[in-house]
Amino acid sequence: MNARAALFAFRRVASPATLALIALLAFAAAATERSTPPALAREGLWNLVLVCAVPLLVARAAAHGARLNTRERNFVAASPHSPAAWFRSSVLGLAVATLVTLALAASSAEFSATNEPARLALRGVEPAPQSAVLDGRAPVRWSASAGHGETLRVELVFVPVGTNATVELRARRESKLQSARALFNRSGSIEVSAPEGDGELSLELERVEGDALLLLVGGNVQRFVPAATPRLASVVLALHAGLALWSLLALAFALATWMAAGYAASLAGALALGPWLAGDEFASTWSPWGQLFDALALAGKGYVPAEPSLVALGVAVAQLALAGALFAAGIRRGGRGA
Amino acid sequence: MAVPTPRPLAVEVRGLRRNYSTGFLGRPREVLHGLELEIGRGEFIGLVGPNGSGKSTLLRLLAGVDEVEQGSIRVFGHAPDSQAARRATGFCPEDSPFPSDLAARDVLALLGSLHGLGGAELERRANELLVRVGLAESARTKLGAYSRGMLRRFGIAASLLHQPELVLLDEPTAGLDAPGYAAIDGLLDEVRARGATLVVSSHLLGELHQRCDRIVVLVEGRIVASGSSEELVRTLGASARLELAVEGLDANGLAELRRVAEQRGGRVVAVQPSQAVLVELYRRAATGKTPGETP
Repeated sequence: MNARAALFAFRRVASPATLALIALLAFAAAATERSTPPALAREGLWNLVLVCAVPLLVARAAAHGARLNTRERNFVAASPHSPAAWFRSSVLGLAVATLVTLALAASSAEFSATNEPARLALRGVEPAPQSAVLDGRAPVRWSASAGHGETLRVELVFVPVGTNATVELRARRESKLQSARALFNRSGSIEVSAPEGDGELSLELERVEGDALLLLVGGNVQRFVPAATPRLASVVLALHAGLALWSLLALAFALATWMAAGYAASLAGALALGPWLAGDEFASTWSPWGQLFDALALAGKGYVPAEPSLVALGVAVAQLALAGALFAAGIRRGGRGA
Repeated sequence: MAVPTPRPLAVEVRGLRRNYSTGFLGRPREVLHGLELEIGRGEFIGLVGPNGSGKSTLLRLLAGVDEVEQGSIRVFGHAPDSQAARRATGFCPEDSPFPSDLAARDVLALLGSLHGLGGAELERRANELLVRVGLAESARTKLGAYSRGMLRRFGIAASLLHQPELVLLDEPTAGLDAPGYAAIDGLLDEVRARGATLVVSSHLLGELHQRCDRIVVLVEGRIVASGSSEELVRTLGASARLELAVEGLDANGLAELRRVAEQRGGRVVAVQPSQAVLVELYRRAATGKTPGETP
């Protein structure tokens, strides 16, 4: 690893002009977002920075990779730094570029999201019955594991066969009961606090009034704990975005040693985002990008999303390893005849 | 043709072949045909040959930039793409491969750090080299704004930054003006003086013959002749056209020299001022003296 080679990659990918452009855009948008609810402002700012910065950074990372293997190949290949060492140094530079960009995104988002009460932070997902229908005939029952002080949130899909429906969610542990009621005239969620105690927690969901149908789709219940500050949402979003963006930049950088920079940037984007864009549910579990978009949606609803899963971390690390192998092979291939 | 040398070897090339794919179907074209070459430590080798003879290909292989596919190369006993060989080698390719979006001093800092140099020592060497090649005032200028001659001078400085034991220069004087040529000349003398091995390619024999220990003539990927300039002249016999550098003669002396040459059956084809004369003229112009004036 070489600090100057890392700095070289950083300067190429996140030039002062690029960073100034991102900062200008983010803070100009943040200044105009102040009348928007804080959670929506935070999500909007994050989306804006990602939409503007990601294509720019990916294109620049690919351009850097392409230059190293074309015009600058004699410089790279004649240096005592091996291709693997060049990759490690460059990826360190890409990580710094990612960090700086995300710091800009987080600070602009938090600049716009002010005066917000403390909310909940996602701690995990509990299984729930698959595709249960709330039609007022019988309650849906299942058990979950949630400690005292935690909140359970159930998402319901509104089926407009009637005008509305009131739903009650009951959480029972031993003799203690906590319940919540919510009126639905469109899809939404209902939350209940877990009662005290160590015994098994049983949940009951029932339509108590109204004529519309509600569906429990997906079979998941989210478990939340109180968040110290809602600004934690930006920290968690930065973790998700960092993992997703860093691995994407490394892939674009490495692919560019095999093809033109434009193709490399497009291919890396397609490989990273493709599974999620194709609507593959599984992709949101394992893809860093899938998890980022889920986290953004949750942040927009006023919650603090959960940190990236170990699976997403593993996928990002595998992507970095693949990029490293592609880069080394690309540089060696460049020296095997024109 | 293996050329035995009495000195310890710096470079050993055995049965080296090199193919390039050409055309739409990628048909292989052989550029080097089983080359055999030995270069002793401290030797100054001039690699000459017409365009497309394989000089640049050979230098790229020696520098470890391209992969050796057939045959073998040892640089100070190591494979040319090994870290040990790369640390010992300074390579200046024909085209500038340096990042054009960085300033000269930043490129030297990057290059030096890759070679394990740093701090005051790196800065001292970088500044010294930039002064020597006449680029001190352009040290903060991005290489993209350099002229071809400036890039050439910078490339040579960069290849000498880590004081390599083997210096490979591909057409180092192409695009250089007379002062640039003089600066590079001085640098090459210093490289020789510290005992480094030099391999310099050129398609012009005249540039090299004065200072080379040995000239290797490469034609269509084969070594067709190898030896000192006198040996090459002997090989060609009376049909050889020679260049004689003379100083200290006035017009009468020159006429006398021409007469003697013609008496011995020779024919003087051209008399022209050398690069040194041009350098001196430039220098005088720069200092405001007239061409005829003595310094």
